[in-house]
Amino acid sequence: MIILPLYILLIIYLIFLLFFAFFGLFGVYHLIKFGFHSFGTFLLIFMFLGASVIILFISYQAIAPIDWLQEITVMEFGGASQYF
Amino acid sequence: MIDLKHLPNQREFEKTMFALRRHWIVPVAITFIFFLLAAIPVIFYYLVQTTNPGLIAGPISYPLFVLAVSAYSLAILLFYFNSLIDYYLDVWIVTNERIISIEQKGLFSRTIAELKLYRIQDVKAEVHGIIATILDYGEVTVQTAAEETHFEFKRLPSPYKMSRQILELIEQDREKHLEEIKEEHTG
Repeated sequence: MIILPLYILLIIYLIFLLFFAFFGLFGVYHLIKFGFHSFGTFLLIFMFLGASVIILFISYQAIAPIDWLQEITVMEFGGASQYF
Repeated sequence: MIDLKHLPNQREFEKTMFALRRHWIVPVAITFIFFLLAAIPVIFYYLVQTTNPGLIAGPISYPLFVLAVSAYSLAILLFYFNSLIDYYLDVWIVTNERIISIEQKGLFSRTIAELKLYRIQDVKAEVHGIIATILDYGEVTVQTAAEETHFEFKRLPSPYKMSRQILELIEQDREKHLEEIKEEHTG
């Protein structure tokens, strides 16, 4: 039987967010450095940043009430019904 | 940032005639795929809610579901954004002196090449397939003398019209560089 804190999921999610931020900002950098001096460039950046903020805000709203300190018991005999 | 009015190494009498991107069907197809992928968690949520509502309401399954959907949404957004960047940064800039081809291959690869118009010997336009014929897009290839580089631009809108316009510009530029062409042929 292994007992893990629930925030382990949050840590995995945060690692993913770091990858997302790296590749997303690299894309923005690409557009600023190599894009055209036009409205389209700024629209593309604005749309991406706007959509990212909306997704992160909705995610925050959904995960904020969760008690991340509760523990998950994995590899316990008794089936998967305890998780659901 | 590239300014079409101030190109790198721009000559005194050089004017940008047009900047060409791939046909609008390319970003539309990317957007369609994005919305198709975005619908997957919505459909999944709907199916779970109708068949077994308690499945994603558990103390572990709920946070897992929220984080998974959030990560998935951000991942497809990133995919969509990078695909649009790829489309947006692939461009042919045609001036009255040269063709500059800028090709973005993913995030970490970029090729910029240019051909002087008077050196171009062949311009080829091709349209293949039903959709390409209906929507009027195809491939335009520009080639200089044998064994030299050639530019290929795929899914270009109105390829026949574009190739005609490029040919006209080549003719005009050749007249300006007549002496240079003669020297090359005699020397």
